[in-house]
Amino acid sequence: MPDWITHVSVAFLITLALGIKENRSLVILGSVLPDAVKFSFFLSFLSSFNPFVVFHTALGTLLFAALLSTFFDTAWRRGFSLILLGSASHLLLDSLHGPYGDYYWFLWPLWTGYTNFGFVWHDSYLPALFSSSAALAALLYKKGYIFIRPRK
Amino acid sequence: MGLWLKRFTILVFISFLSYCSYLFPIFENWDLSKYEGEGHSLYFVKVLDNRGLNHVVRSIYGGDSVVVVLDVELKIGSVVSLYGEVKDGRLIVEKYHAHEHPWMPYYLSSFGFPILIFILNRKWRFDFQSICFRRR
Repeated sequence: MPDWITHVSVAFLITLALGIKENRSLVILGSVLPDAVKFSFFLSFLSSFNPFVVFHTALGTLLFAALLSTFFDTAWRRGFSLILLGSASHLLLDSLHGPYGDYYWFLWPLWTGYTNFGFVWHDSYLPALFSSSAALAALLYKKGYIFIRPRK
Repeated sequence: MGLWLKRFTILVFISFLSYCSYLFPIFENWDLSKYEGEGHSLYFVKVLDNRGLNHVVRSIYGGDSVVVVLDVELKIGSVVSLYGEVKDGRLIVEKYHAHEHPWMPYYLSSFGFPILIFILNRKWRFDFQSICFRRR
């Protein structure tokens, strides 16, 4: 997994790029949703089976986003699509991991092929550095702290 | 459809999917016999023991251990990612990458988590009566 700084920053940049102003926080929440797979950590003393592993697949994410969006006071479809957008960005970012290939089965159970492109190691801090810098610059620009003067 | 019925229905689907993942495991990386004669990779494994070129490794998250063969001697306790071909139930490693900070994503996430809580808390408050997040 990339770290949550990368996921949150990229989700924020996506909302800016797509012009999502209302309920931006739902996209950001969705961007960390597939990492619910880590809940297994709390159950690891009971069994080696991880019941949450499905949350890191496309279908599991879809269902989890559908469930979570019922807990937000917003139009269900709107909430669902925003959370799903964030989750999709998470899976896409995780696909960039694993330079040796075959790491994730994102499309399980529909397809058990590997879907990662793999060019960055999981423990690299560079994605966090670049994405958080870009998100910070975008935030400062949006708030008016950074001015880009048009050329004359 | 009532809200609770909708939640319950989705939860049933998630449970079913989870049960399917028990029957047909998603991550099968550790059963090398299924990859006999094929290229295979093992990510973030901890070296438990080394007997010459044979190394016993296991995922840093736990689980079963497997035997890999490397032409270099890895330090016991070090964390590496491996790629190679499976022969006779062992991974003959062709390339490997040593991880100096395997827990880095978790360290960074410990900073990302408060940011997420701050963003959510700014816009939403939890209403215990309706068990739902409402706008501030």
